[in-house]
Amino acid sequence: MKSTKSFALLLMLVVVSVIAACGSNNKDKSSSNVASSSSSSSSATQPSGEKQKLTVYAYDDTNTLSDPAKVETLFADFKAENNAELQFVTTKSADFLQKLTVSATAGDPIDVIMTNGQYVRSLYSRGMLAELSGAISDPTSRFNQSALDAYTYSGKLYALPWNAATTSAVFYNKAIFEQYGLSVPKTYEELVEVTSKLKENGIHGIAFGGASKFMYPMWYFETLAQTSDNNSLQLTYETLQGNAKFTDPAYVAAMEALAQFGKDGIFQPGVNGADSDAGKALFASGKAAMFYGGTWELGNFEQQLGDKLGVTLFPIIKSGVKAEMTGSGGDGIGLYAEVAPERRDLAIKFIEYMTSDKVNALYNSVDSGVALPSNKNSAVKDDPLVKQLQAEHLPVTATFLDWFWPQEVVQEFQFQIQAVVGQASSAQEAMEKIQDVFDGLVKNGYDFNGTK
Amino acid sequence: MSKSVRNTLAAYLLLLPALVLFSVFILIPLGYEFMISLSKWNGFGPMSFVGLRNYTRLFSDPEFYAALSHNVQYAFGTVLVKIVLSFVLALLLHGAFRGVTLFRTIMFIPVVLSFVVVGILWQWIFNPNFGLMNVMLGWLGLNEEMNPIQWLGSPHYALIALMMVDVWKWTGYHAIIFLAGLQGIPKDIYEAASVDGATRWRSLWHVTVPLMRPTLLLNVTIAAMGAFNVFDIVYTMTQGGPYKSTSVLLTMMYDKAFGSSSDYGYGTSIAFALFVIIVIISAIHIRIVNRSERA
Repeated sequence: MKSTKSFALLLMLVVVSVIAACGSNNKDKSSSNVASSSSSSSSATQPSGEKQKLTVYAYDDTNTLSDPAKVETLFADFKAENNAELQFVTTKSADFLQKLTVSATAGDPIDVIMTNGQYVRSLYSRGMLAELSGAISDPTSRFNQSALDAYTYSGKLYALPWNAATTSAVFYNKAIFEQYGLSVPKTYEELVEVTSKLKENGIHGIAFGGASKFMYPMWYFETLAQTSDNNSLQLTYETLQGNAKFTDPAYVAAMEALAQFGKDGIFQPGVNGADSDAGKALFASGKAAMFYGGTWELGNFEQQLGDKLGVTLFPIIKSGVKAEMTGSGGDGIGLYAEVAPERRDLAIKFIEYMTSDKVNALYNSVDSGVALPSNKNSAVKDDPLVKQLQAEHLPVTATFLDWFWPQEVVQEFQFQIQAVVGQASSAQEAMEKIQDVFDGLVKNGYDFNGTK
Repeated sequence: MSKSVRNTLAAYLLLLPALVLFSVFILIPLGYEFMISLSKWNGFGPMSFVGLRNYTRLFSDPEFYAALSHNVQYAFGTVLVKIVLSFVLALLLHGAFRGVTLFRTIMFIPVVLSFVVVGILWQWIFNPNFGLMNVMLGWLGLNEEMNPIQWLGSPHYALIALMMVDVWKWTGYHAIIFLAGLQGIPKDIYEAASVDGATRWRSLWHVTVPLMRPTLLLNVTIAAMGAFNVFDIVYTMTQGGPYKSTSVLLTMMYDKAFGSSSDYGYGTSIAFALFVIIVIISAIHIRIVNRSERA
């Protein structure tokens, strides 16, 4: 009797649970039907008084967008004018593509993408960016055409520049050079000599975080610029279109130059075991005399070294050519291809707002990583080093080559440069492996002309 | 309805919630994952069926075998050291003495630390220029400041460094399992051995170790499975570098699926290969346990 009662109770519990589950499912379906019908009838605008939430995926190496106070300074006006909330999903540059891809696969809401410019072409190729031509008012009034060209594919604009225009520099500690009576090296030979003298005094030459292999390709852009007789961009186009190979002499020579850097001990020992922060710490603490990087490092180094900081061009490794720096007109801000229809207009308004001259100037003032603004109308900081960069480095700056390379090739370059600098691979072997990766992509249907 | 039928039905009904959860969170995702492994998909556009192409690519990919060999080296390096160290620790902390609770707590602290915290902490410890490891080795005359040991920057040392971190993090966990096993051994067996004239050393080898066999086997299996499942420590500290010398199956899978190539089909084929390896390890464990029980 008892077991019959227990059995009946158990059966009832199961049946009730199933009915409850089905009931809540129906309620969800009916409520979502109500939401979608109201949104379709109002053609992508919310009833007034109801706040819309925009989700912005952004790379944030300088921790600006993850600082609530800075976010409030930058976006209070936008939020008030549009009755909107902003949710920033931030991550470091090196992990941004993975983070965005995982979120997109999971179906998480994404409205606006603020990415390192290196990823824009890849995102466009995957169909993750919506076209902006026609949606954005007169971008040429705010940006240089070359900056817009970097994000124009098949004649259509897919992103706008934001953040900062960048170039590269060898940062150096003036005090160390003065202390040991050294001149800032202009050629590779001078660099080797200077490094040797510094080491005698317990100081490293150029500090770098080789474990963060993400930054290694910048070195390669510098050496390739010279070994290709200042023709690296054209060579890149030809290679990606199949008219040249990564194993061609200019490419191998550029990689050999980096191998020489490693062999001659230009970097601090253990360069591949130190990450980016450790490399910068070595320079900022005076244990290394130089650091090579982008202008996004300027703000922090100026804070740490003050008047002791100087900047100079990359050393000449091949006589008869000019030093050519590497950089861009600005990172990319774009509209997610599958943005919810009811948030599309607001997302475009956000992109316009973020790239306006007023907000770009405001962003310059809060982000320590901005030396040169991406907007051509924004004032440049009254800083001698910024003016030097603008006068001497910007005019000889070519766009980062990894903005054109497919991401698989970029990653292979990162690994191979690390191996070559660490003397674990020869330059020839490294370039052959990179060519193999590229050949594999072509075999699987990669077509650079389809991504131009 | 007869009593036995009712009892059977009741048993299934009681199992139903667990079966539903198992299906929803394990079986269905596993099936979907297998479907993805038979497809070409970048996680965003449409999926296209390619059959076993991902698997044929996998078994001809030298990177897969390199990653697998790193996992095998990792397993040998960490399992042996962890088991021996944790067993010794458990023996030392088995008694009742002043401070035993404190020591047990200290031993367990690394286990509860987040992998990211552990990774960042040890990255700095292994830093060739600033790190504590090289500083201490320098005191012993084993490291030069201007030519330091490149723990995470050298393909010769990086995997060893990761194994050291793994041992540091998980020894406490295995020690706790050994401790539980030791506490399950009846005291009268030791008393009987003592009466028979057995020394402490002989008691250890002829009483403790044989009776700890099932616990030892459990710990070895968990450690081995952990070695093949390792991801967090490797990803946080080296991302598979330098020059892919610490790339393991899960970092390779993560890289292929979510990295630059966004090749979910290929990534999930790696996941399935790992699944098969784990199943084999588990099957070996079950077989040995069953044999012991029958004996």
